[in-house]
Amino acid sequence: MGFINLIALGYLALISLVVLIYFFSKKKNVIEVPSIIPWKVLKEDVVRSRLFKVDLLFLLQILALLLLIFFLTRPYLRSSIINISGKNIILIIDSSASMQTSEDDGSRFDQAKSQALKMISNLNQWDKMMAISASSSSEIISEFTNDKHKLDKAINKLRPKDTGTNLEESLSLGISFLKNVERGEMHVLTDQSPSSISFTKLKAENIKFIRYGKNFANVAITSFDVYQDMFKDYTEREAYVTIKNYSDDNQNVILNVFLNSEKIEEKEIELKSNEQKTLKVKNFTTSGILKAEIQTNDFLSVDNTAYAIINKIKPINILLVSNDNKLKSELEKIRRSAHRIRITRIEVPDYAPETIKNYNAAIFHKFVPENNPDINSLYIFPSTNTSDTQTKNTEEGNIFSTLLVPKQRLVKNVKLLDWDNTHPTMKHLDNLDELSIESSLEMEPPDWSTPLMKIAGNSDNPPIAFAGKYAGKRIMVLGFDISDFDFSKSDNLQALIMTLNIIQWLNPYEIEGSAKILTGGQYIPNYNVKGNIEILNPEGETLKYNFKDGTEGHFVFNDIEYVGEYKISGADTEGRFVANLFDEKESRIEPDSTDDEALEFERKDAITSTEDKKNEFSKYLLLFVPLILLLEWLLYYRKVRAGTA
Amino acid sequence: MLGDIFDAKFLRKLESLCIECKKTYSGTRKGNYEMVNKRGTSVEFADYQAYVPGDDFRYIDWNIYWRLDKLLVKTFKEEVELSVHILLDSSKSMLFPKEDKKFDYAKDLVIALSYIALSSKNSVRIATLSNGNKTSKTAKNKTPFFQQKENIFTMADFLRGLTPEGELDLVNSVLKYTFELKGRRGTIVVISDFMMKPEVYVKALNFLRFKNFDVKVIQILGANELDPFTKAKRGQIVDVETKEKKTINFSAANRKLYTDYLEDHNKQLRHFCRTRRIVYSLAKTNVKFEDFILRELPRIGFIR
Repeated sequence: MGFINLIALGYLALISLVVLIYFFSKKKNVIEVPSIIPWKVLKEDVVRSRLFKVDLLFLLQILALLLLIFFLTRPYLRSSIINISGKNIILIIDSSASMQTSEDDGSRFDQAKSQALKMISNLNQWDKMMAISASSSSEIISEFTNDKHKLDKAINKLRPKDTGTNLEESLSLGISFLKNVERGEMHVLTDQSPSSISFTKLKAENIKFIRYGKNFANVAITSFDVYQDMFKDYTEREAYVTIKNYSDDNQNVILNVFLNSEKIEEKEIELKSNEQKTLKVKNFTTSGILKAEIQTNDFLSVDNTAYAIINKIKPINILLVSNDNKLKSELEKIRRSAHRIRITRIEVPDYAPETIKNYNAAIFHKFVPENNPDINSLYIFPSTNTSDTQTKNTEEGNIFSTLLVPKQRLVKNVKLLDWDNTHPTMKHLDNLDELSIESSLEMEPPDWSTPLMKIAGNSDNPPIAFAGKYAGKRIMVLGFDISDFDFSKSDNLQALIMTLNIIQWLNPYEIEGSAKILTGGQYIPNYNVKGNIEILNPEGETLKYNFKDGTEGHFVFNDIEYVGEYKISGADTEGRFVANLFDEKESRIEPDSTDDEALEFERKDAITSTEDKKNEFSKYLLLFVPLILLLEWLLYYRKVRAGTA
Repeated sequence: MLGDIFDAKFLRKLESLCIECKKTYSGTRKGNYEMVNKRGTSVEFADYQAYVPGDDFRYIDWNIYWRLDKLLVKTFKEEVELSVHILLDSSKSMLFPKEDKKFDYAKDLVIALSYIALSSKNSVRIATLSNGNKTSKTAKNKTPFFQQKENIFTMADFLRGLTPEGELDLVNSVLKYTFELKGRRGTIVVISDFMMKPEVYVKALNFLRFKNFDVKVIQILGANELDPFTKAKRGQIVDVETKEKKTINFSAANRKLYTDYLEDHNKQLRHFCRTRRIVYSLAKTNVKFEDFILRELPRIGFIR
């Protein structure tokens, strides 16, 4: 037995205090009598017969005090505990698309799963295991546990994804856990080679790669693009399917193309080893989901299908708010070649916020409405002020124009220096610097926008054009007046192309199929998401999301795990997108010949250790204190009743 | 000053009393004490006594001799002065319990008895009883014999100057007093709480009897002394004289033991006095002083 807090023994001095209390309580009751003779017949009181004589009450008080002091010293009894520490296994299961490759005895994923279940069944009772699923992202499917049932359940629930593999991220995650456990082992069940991972990182840890995959014949659709714009009819639109043979042998491939489940094309091609061919598909009759499927003798089917969306052709109604008819007449030239464009001009004084309800896009010429019109908009020369420098004050000017163009300055003889040709509005504009702009506004772009055109002179100067997304709507601002250009003249071809790009960019119907979304990636809707929405994925699973009122969120959908069509539905939202694999790493299912023997792996064993444990027991003794106090009270009460207290 | 209780009315009542004495003593002065004297110095016939050799032949009643053939001697009454000795216990025990004021009561008693005696033309002396030989030589422990009533104030002053102290040695105190007395007999009143072993007071009182004193005893006890158990519930008692200590539980059982003992102790003293023709009276300090003097003492024949 030992004591953790020996200092508490100092409280033993309190016993002397109790003795003193007894001593003084005795001293104070001295009664002087004329003679002791009549008192001699009485028996001397046993308690008070001496200067200090202990009685049961005193003993109980001392006992209670000793117990309290004993409690404060925190006594303990030593005991030895035999600990058996098992190993901690981190299991990483590759659940990427390539693991769906068929092998002789099931898919690679099935083999990995069986191996995982076998490992679980072989776990000793003191071993613990953690399971991580590795696809495009990492997911801990089970924390460290020795509950085999729980582990089995987690593994059985696991399904392969149609995504690429970010095995490095999963390994980093696993290693971070591995560093914090004793007798750790990491088992990576994958078809990838360790050579694809930072070897130094792997060598430092106790990692074993268990690799799957013997078959390697695979043909995949590596890209599927539809060329479509608002100026093309369905029949003019074209789709291009690129098919690649990752096998060592020649492969005969039959390509079937379906538009809304109706086969519209069937082609047969032969691909040599590592050869890729692009096939054109056209003659579409309507909008919808375009599905390309190849039939061939390969072992991975997930990359044999690709999807695309044929956008619906809809007329685009553009509201032009301008006091000047010149811009209308220039835009009319575009309308004549592109019948889908319908332009309606109104004078600035006639503009009212409710006017725009029937339009798909708006062009504000030398005018900025007081409030955000909540429509995809182009603002041309958003100032009528001709002064050289103007700084708008938020307190004086209208709020939206201040938000749109906080600062602006008029510059003459503009010479374009640079423009962002990656932006959709700047496509096909290789010689934009040839454009002759007499005067333009230099505008400080708001935070939500991207500068598009910069002029020579000072590269730090604000741009003369910028575009961005504000309150869910696309907004482009041009500091110069495009009505200065005659679109029929060849010199102004650049201005025409830019205007067409802008109109196309502002068209809300063209947005739907424009994004090329890959599995494991993200989908960001081009509209504000409100309330409850549901997303139906290709596996038929419905994923539900809730956006509370007032939290119009920038919704990013990350759960794109399967190839196919995703349908989005909500209170006032309808949309869809398609996701494809298009991952060469996944399609190249040939096992890497790199040997992983360089990795040192040590199989850990459970160890038995004896640990000295201090078992504090003072709290149990403390339970006696109330008992003693009760006993003391009873004794005292009895003495009071007997008159001997 | 005599004290508040000794007002004129009370003093007048005292003046009408005199101390009873059952023994005969020869006095040198005339007093109120009626002494039967064979010598026939008085003219008032008292009684006949059998002749014993040595009696004066002149007092033989020859008529009786002739009629009855018996030699009888005539005796005559004579009022002579009686010596009254008041022995007051002035040991420390008379101060305790303080609430009882035993010593004050005793001093009042001494004054009253002295006044009665002086009013009866008796000579009175007050002497203190304490630890015998150990008494300081310088301290006065007795007064001279007084005969005049006026001397009551001198006696009161003497009493006022007394401070109870020391331990009472009754036997030696009595021996010493009688030795110094040189044969002047009379009534001796012993006032004490008599908290002593019976053999002590037996020895002392017998000695006084043998010395032919008319012995009277007044035992003074206080109410708190008779029942000290109301004062506390427990404590250590200390004898104020011997300093002997004892720790006592003031339980009901002990209370009974104490009161029984005290009653028995007093009964023994009373019995002893009765069997030895000693007038005994118990003065409880809680009893009204006037009642004790004017009713209790005449009732038991202490005074008449």
